[in-house]
Amino acid sequence: MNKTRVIHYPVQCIVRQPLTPVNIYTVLPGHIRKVVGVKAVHSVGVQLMSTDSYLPVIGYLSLEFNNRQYHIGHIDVPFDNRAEASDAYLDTSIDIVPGSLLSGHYENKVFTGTDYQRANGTVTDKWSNYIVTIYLKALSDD
Amino acid sequence: MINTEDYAERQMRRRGMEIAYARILPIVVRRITDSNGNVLVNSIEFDAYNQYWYLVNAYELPIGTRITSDTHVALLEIHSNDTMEEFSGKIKIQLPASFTGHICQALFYQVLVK
Repeated sequence: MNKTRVIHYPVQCIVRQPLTPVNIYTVLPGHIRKVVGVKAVHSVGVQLMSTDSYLPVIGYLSLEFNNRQYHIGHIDVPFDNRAEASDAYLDTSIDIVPGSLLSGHYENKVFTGTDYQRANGTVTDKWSNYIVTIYLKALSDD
Repeated sequence: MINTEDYAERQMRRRGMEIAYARILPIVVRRITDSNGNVLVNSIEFDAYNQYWYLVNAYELPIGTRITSDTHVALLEIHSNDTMEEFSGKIKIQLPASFTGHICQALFYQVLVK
């Protein structure tokens, strides 16, 4: 008999250029049945470009579940290096088609000036690649 | 080169949707400047909710053109007709600062589903 349990499934995206959107195309594991929460957090990188410990929005995340059939909308991704940083999930209730595609994109909104990217498209020394991790709080049959 | 009609048909079928109507639609983006050459307008924004728009002529748009929608963002970094970009929701076409012409036409394959 299968027993359902809660898992926290991470999906990472690496931002390598300030102006280039990062596309997300990944297949969710077949044991995920339902997504009950989503959060997107900055993992590492932005602290190398800013002395601020809190930036309310560093980018926007758009996510689609079930082979692009369910668009969850847009999520603001903050940079929060403070001790009191929130780790709350955005409540969702999305039944997942087993083995379906999770797609979407992340669009960087900070450090987009010419200080960070030259006219020829290459990044300067001031730019640092950073990682945003999407956590899916999911019900799993595994 | 990808057959747009086939591609859209397959995409919709995979999602369990049926196409009700489809057509090629040109969208004209104007670059308007003042007498000093300052750019006043170089983008266009329009609604495409509950529709799917496929960019057909990516290879004809200026490098650096950015197309943003609720479901997808594309930055044209090379001239290619080997990819198919799908947009839905509010769509914005932004011409790059390097574009000095007055007019630019993006062609989309617009799909409405039942």
